[in-house]
Formats: sequence, structure tokens, C-alpha cells
Amino acid sequence: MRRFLIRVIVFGAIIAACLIIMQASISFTRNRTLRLPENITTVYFGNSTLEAGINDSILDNSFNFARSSERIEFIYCKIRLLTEVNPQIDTIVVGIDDYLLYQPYGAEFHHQLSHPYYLAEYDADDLATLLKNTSFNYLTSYLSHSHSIKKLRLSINSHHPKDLEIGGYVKLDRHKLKEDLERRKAGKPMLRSLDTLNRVPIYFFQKIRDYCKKEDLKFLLISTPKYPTVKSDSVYRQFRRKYLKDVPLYDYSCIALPDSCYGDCTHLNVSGASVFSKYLEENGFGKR
Amino acid sequence: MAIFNLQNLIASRNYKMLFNSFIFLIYLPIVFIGYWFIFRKLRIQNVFVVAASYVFYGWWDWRFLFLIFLTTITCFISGISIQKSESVTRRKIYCGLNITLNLLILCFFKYFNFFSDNIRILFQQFGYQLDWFTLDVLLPVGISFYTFQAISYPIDVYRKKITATTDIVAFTAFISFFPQLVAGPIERSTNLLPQFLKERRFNYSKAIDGSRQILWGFFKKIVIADNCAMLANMIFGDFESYNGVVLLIGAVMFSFQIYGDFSGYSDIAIGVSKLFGIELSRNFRFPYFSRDIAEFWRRWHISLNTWFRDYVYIPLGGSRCSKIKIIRNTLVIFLLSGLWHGANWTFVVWGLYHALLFIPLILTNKNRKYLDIAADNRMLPSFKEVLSITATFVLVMIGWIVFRSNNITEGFEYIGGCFSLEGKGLAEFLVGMKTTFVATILFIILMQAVDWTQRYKSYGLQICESLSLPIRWLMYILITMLIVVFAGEQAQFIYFQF
Repeated sequence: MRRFLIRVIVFGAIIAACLIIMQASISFTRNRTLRLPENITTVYFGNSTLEAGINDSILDNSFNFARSSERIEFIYCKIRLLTEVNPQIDTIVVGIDDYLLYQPYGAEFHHQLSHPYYLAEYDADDLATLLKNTSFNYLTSYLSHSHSIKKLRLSINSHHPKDLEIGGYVKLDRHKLKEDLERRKAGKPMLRSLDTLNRVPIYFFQKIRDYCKKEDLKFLLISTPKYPTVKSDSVYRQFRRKYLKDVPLYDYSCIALPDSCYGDCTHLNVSGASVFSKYLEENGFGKR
Repeated sequence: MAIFNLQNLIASRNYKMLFNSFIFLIYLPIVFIGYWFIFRKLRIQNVFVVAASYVFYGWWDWRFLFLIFLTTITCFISGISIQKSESVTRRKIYCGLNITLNLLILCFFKYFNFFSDNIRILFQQFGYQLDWFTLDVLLPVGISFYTFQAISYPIDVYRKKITATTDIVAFTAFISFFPQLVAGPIERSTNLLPQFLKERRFNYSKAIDGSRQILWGFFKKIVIADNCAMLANMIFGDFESYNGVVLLIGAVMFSFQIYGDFSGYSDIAIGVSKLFGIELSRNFRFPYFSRDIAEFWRRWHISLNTWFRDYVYIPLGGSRCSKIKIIRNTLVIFLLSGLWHGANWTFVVWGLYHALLFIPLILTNKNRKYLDIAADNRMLPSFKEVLSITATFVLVMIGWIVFRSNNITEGFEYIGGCFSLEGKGLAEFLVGMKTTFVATILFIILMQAVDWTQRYKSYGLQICESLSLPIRWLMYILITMLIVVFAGEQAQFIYFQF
């Protein structure tokens, strides 16, 4: 029995060592894969509303690193990773809406969202917060989905953050506003309140604020245009008033754009992204 | 404050105790330590096995613990009653009552809605509108497996193959033993029950062999099956858009998905049992190396097929009767086997398809042509063997298409689509999937190559101790790292739904 247990422990230790070596060797590629051109000083993070809504080729010195179904705990990692490798970055813009705040933490998330680079960015408090406030399904999917051969291959071969397939502007060629309006009329409205908010988004939004303060980065919140007749998601405003009072919020959710700019009620399509991005550029959004 | 929120852990509804879950990685060492270090005396060890198994099963759905307990008690009591009865008639009655009760329970949970829906549709065809009701019946996980395992016991007592036990704890352990509780192998009382009636001693070689088998099982499930599942689901989910080449690939992927999934689970179950000094029956013998359908059915899901052979086919007369009866008996077992898999006509058609392939062999006395192993005493198969193996695989794969499809119409449409060149081709399908596809193909080839070289052994990784320790360990480490890196999107074991 003793011999068996010793062998099991030794084998486990060897596997753990292999995983640490693998994680460490991936880290060597970070500086190359996350390097942005020197002129990039503003980076956008968020979910699909920002992924489709900000055309960074129109905005000067900007890079859109938003991703569909993004989670705030990954945005935190991405901010740390990018700013560590790109000291020229001075402005962090995070798209905020109820979808980002109310991501589920009781279930597994899509395996494409996590990345091997992220784990090393968390400290003990971050991990404790995740352990206390998420489910086993969430944690196990994180651990089991972080290291796939595709992600490892992308990490080794990439020369730009976009190549990692964890963010980047996506031209949304969609024109389903009418269908989406009909679907929303037929469905029940989502009732959300701050009371039901998981601790994780509160923690990581504040962590981002503190990190930006410490690194002397400008931290801005933005909400992209939403179709006017849709009931506005207002919990994120309450959230910002309660937890991020000192962070400026540029709330463009209520500005009216032509119907042709909307892919659906909450996402701008290619035309909409172009109009909105030009508007931000002309108004000097985010510039010091 | 606890660093980990136990309430979240227990309350999470999506939280299943799969073999390939982190919770099982915590559960198994706890049970192992309790079994060998704390509860060492036979009786108390069996109590611990029962408790651990009920925790394992209850983790899926505690509401069905009562059901498995009911099955256990009825079979235990009927075994004793049969044993004590002198009268043959009374023995038959006890046996029959027990089988009827447990099959009724199984049929209710598994087939109530299926039959009521089909009866309603049948009456509608004749213009009668039945005011029928359907119940939203949940299917208890593993019910098909443990019910068959349980009802074989009173039959074996009736046939005097085993003496009825009076040890309720050992018997409960036999029915509910967690490694094989939810997806087999379906154990016989003559094999498993005696192991719970005698003391177990830790055996180092058995434990190492079990650990190796667990590792191989995980490789087949996580690397092969889960990756094949991803590709197969994409193709089957949108099969009308793809051309025949892609559909064929989808069929191949599903064939290896179900093999990797099910045989992987069986390997893990058998390997885990070995850690506890228990030997389970073999469930797969490299079925995709079969040279005809009869050989395939001697190598695939062996525990279920032998169950049907011993408890249905042979009592009906088996092969020792007229040709008409042989056909009838063969049809019955294959249709029942299909139905066992689920309440859907696709499974019935799948069973019927295999029956139609099997019947000619049995009528011409060629069903026992290949009792040896392919390329026996040779490294490579002959050209004839390659053709036979390939042809058998293709026939089996056609059956899997219907098995996998949502309904019979889709199944036949899929098969028809395999002969068409219209639709999206391989290049289009592989956009963004090339790495996964190539890796999956390579690993299927690797698995088959390992299985082929080890086809005389119980499982692919049962390498001999004559290999040096560093080489053996290098292989284990490599396979473990392959599991970590090449893990597909986690999918539940297919056979849990049965």
C-alpha cells in the first residue's frame, strides 16, 4: 500500500511540475504576442456590444480588445497583461451593461473565453473571491478549458493580441432589428436588481479601478448605443453609482441612431459602429 | 470564513459526479482512504461501500435513492424466498413476481411517455382522438443497468447457479457498487456478489493495473470521445448542409465517439474497482477489429449482450430449435437490446438492422466463424482480414447513424446524404477546426494502433512489466499531458442517458 501511495504522489507531483513548466513556457511568449504598436494608447474592453460597436480603425491610437460573452474577471486579466507589455497605454475603456454584470457564475462558461495567460494574473485574493462566489462547474470549466492545443498553438504563433482570438473588433453584418423587437415584445422583461448581483463583478470592477489608479491609467466606462424603444438596462447605472462613483461613465445608450445602424436592439452593425466610432473620434473621446 | 463556499458546491444543480469531474477526483481518494485505512473489517467495509455508493448515486439525484433501494430489497427478499422454497411452482412465482415488479418500474420510468404517445398517434391514424395523458417522467440515471443487474440475481438463485445470500449489506453493495452503478458493466451475481462476501486485501499489482486502466479510459473518453463529439455534433446538427464526404466523416466521428465514450467509461469503472480489490467483468474486446457482425456482438457491450443471451435468448430456445424460432429469438433480443437503449424508434430500428445482419450468419452457422483474434500470431492482418474488418466497421457505422439521429427520417436522410456531393465540403467545414480535426484523426489512429498491438490484453495500455520503469512512466506522463492539452469540450458519458 505504501509503495502504491508513494508512486501515486510522485506521479502527481511530476504532472503538477509538467503543468507548471507548460504554464511558464507559455508565459515566455507573452511579450511577443501581446505587443501592440507604439501609437496605441487607448484600449477598449467589453462584451459583444463593444466588440461590434467600436471600429478601432476609425479611432486614433485605439485598439478594441472586446469579446463576445466576455467576463469581467477576464477583462481584468487582459488589462493587466496588455498594460504590463505595453507601457505606452494610458487609457482603459470598459464597456458596461447588465449583460456583463449578470454573467452566470453557477454554470460552465464557453471554453473559448479562457486563456492560459489569465491564471498567472490572479493573486490570492482574486482566487479566493472566485472560489467563494462561483460554482465548481465554473472553476472546473476554467481549469479544463484554459489549456487546449489550439490556444497553446495560438499563443506560440501569435504576433498580435488579435491573433489569440480572445478579442478584437468584429464587423457585425446583421440587420435583424425588427425580428429582435418582435421577440422582445413577445418575451418577458428580465427583472434584475443590485441585490441579486454576484460579488465577482463588484470585486473585479473595483480591482480594475484600483489597478488603474496605481498604474496612473485613465479608467473610463462606456455604454454603447441601444435601440431607443428597448427598456433601458438601468442596473449598471445603479452599480456604477454605488461601487464606481469616481469612474466616469460615458453613457451613449440613449443616443438615437438611424435604424440601419442597429444589427439588433443591443448591437450596432458595421454602419452603426462606423457612425459611433466617428462620433467618438470627433468628440475627442478618451483623450487626455 | 471558509475559503471555499461549500453551499455553492452542494446547491449547484449542474453539479454531476462524472468520472471526469473534479468532484470525483476529491471523492475517490476519500473513499479509497476510508475503505483501506479506516473501515477495514469486512462487514463495516461493505457498509462503507454502500454509503459511498449511495452518496455517489444521490449526487446525481437523491430522489431516486428510494428506487434503487426498493429494487435491492425486492431482489434480496425474492432471492431468499426462492432459496427456501421447495416447490418449483413457488420458486417460479417468486422469481416471476420480482422480475415483473422491477421491469414495471423500469418500463414506467423509461417507456411510459413513449408508449402513450405512440398509442395516441396510432388511434389518431384511425380518426380517434384519445384523451390521453403524458407524465413528465424523469429518467433515473443508470436504471437500465442496475435493474438488469438486480433481476439477474433471483434468476440465478432459481437456476441454482448461486446460493441466496442473507447478508443484506453485501447484497446492497453488489447492486449499488458505485464504479459500475450508472453505466455498467452489468455484473452477474456469480461474479460480483462473492467478492463482497469475502475479505479483500490490497494488492499492489492490481492497484497499479487499475490505475493504468483508469488513465487509458480517461484518454479514450476525454481525448478521443469528447473531441469526436464536438465534430460529430456539428455535422449531425446541420447534416442537410454538408456533402457526402463530410457526412461520412461525421459518421466515423460518432462511431469513435461512442466507442471512446463507452469503452472509456468501462475502463475507468473496471480500473477504479481494481483499486478496491474488486474485479469487474470485461465489457469491450476491441470491437472495431471484428471481422463480421457476430464477432462484433461478442466484443461490444459484452455484459449486456451476454445478459440477453443468458436470460432471454437461451430461455426462448436459443439456436437449438427450428429456423423460424431462431429468427424469432434473434429478432427479439436485438429489438429488446435496441429498446433497452431508449424510448425512441431510432433505437428499435438500430436493433432491427443488426438483427437483419445477424440472422443470415446464424442461419448458415457462420456466427461462430471468428472466435480467435484477428491476425492471430501475426503482427499485421491479411488483405482479406482488412476487407472484413473494414466492411464490418462500415456496416456498424451505418447503424450508428440511425442510432445517433433524432428520428428515423433524419437517419435515413443522413444515410442518403452520404452518397451526395451537394452541399458544403470538407474545406468549408474545417474553417477554424483544422487543428482539432487533424489532432482527433491522429489520436484515433494512435488509439487503434495501441489497441491493435495490445489486442491480446484486456485494454490498450496494459503494457507488460518487462518495459523499464522510466519508459513506462514516460508513457503515462505523456498520456496524462495529452489528456490535459487535448481535452475536448466536456460532454457527459453517452450511456448515462440509458
